[in-house]
Amino acid sequence: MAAAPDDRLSVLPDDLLRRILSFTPPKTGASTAVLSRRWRPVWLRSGTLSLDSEPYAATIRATKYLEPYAYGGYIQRTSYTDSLFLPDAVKVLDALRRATADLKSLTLSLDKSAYSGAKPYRFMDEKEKQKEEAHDRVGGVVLAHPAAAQLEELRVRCRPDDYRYRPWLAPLPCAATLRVLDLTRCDIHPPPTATATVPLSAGIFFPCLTDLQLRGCVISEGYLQVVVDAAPALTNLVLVNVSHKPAVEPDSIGWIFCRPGFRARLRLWCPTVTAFVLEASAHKEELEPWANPGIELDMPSLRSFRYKGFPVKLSLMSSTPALERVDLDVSRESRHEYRVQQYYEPVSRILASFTGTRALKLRLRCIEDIIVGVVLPTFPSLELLEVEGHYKYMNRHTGAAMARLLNSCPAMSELRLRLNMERDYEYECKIKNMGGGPFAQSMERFNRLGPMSSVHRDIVQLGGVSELPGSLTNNNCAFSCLQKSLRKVTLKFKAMEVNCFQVQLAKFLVENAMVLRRCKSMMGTSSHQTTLTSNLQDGDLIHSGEEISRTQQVAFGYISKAFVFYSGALRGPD
Amino acid sequence: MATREAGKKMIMLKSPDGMEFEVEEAVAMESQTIRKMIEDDCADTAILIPNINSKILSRVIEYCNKHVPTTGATGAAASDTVAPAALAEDLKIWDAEFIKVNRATRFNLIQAASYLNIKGLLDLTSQTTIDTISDNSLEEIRSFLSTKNDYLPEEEQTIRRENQWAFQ
Repeated sequence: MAAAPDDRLSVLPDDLLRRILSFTPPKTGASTAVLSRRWRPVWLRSGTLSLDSEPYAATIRATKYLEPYAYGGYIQRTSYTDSLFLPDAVKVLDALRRATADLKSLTLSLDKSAYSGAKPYRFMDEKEKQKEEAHDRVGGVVLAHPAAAQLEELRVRCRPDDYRYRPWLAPLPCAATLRVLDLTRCDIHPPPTATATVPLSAGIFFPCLTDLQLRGCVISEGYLQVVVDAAPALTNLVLVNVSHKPAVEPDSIGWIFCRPGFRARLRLWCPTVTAFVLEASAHKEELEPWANPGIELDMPSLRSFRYKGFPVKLSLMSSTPALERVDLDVSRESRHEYRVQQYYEPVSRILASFTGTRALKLRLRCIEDIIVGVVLPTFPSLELLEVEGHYKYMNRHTGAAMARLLNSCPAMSELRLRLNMERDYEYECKIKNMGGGPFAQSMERFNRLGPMSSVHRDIVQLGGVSELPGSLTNNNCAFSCLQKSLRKVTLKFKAMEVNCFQVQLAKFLVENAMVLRRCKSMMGTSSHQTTLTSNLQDGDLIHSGEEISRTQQVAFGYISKAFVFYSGALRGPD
Repeated sequence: MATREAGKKMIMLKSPDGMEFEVEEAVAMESQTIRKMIEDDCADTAILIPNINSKILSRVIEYCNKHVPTTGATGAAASDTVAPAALAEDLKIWDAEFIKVNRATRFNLIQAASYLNIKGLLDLTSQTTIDTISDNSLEEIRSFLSTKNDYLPEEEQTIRRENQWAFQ
């Protein structure tokens, strides 16, 4: 191109510049007013403000110095003058107010050290208590500022290892216009004015609120329901690592330093919520017998649900006719496995509440968990099933679990499996004993597998892959989904040996799924992956990806052989 | 418009320097501008994208390809997919690599993202641009933006006083 590349931001239109500037920290943003006449109003009109106290805290930390102590040694002092964060924040808001700029979105990041100059202590004395109040004061002043009265999005974050900020939701000045409320590490607690005569719900109303996200927050029992009741337009609810506490005295140390988790039964009635995300913490206290008091949800409009954590007592109290997608991740590893089994629910029982869903994604530790305890319910309208997890080496339950899954999804049209073998001592011993040292081992493997590599794929006999255990094949493969609906299969795995469960399964599915159109196998890790896609309709095989290991080549040989064989096409792989 | 695979509609995008790109409809729909064109049935033949040269357009298509939501067998099932955290993490890493380009390219990407109305790409380019200037002094920002200071000295003093907290 003849013209010099024009890379000056100044040629961009104002509204685009405003958008770009909405990403600036306030100081830099405000200083752009001095650049030129044109830039003066740009920052003020961006409508978005991020007030972050972290840089102030960093400055204060940097000014700490050591002073010789009269009795020997040193004592740490801070050349700490005054809290600069709050005055600055107020100045920003004043500037916005003067410019009559509409502030729509505010992010407030609170760091205690920015205005107290001290690290948070583990136990609270009188002095610390004052700082605790300072936290609330800063938040209170910012939120009560007239410039923040029309907020549509409010995000408040407290640092980890800091005290929690306790925003008073009743009354929150911007409650009337708020659409998104996103609180991280805050205390959701009824105001002190709530007594026997004043109900908890007094003064709390969010007419426009659609998104409520609480992460790492402490919620007092029953108060979340009050907040949800006050938001008649709420559609998205996200609870991540929240602590649900019995309503105890807020002053006790146990309240302040409580761990996340459900310490009281959570019963939630949300008539309007369509998407609900619930993630529970992974702390080891979660394995205590009292850590699973139960979660009961009444969400009749629910369309998408996601849970991650230990398999807790989780149930839906009403029917959910619109349910489309359920994402259940109970794959959390624990060293105290017996406790998980002792105190927690079988996966199948949790799933019993979600049988109406059309898509289900399951992440399990081992797929054998499916058949523990109660019988897996049937999902009559399930179309997409995605299962991710390990399977146990040479375990007779693996096939049974697979059979149960196929049996429970009579209308399934797509199956995605991501299975890998669990580490197994016996298997590793077997590999180790195969020959002396890694070289002999690889030679042995080469000799064994060499003739079967991709070059010689045509002479591979299908008999090299054994049939699946009886549980899958005994009932004459009378799985309704295999007969009628299963059209697409995706398998993702690392092939450790040719005759492994995944290859057996691939062979089984290709042989028995009557209407299968497309089968995709992916092997290897995400960075080193190879894909085999077969279009059974026209017998097409597409092989893409990088160089693969010999074992995988042979495994591929088997699968593609089966494809070719059963799709009736005579053409070999490309 | 060409159809390569049954069920997947292909859209032809043309850059002003004559290059043509065939992309899946779902990928092209990442751009709200193109989505509108498709929905209004203005996309029977190739869509000409003015102002965006083939080099930038191919980068934009690369971005859309990566960010198009992976659709499942059923359209309904994929409509409000909650992206798994791991996937989001991967995307972030990919984004960070993607945006490692020189200033001129990034500037062109901003313009393209703005014209084509691709929110994710616009956020990414904006954030990166801001990250490169926010640590710098005012003079550096001014030279970065190639903006001339057109204030009178007294005026500048007034504005500085108004925003004094920002210059401490």
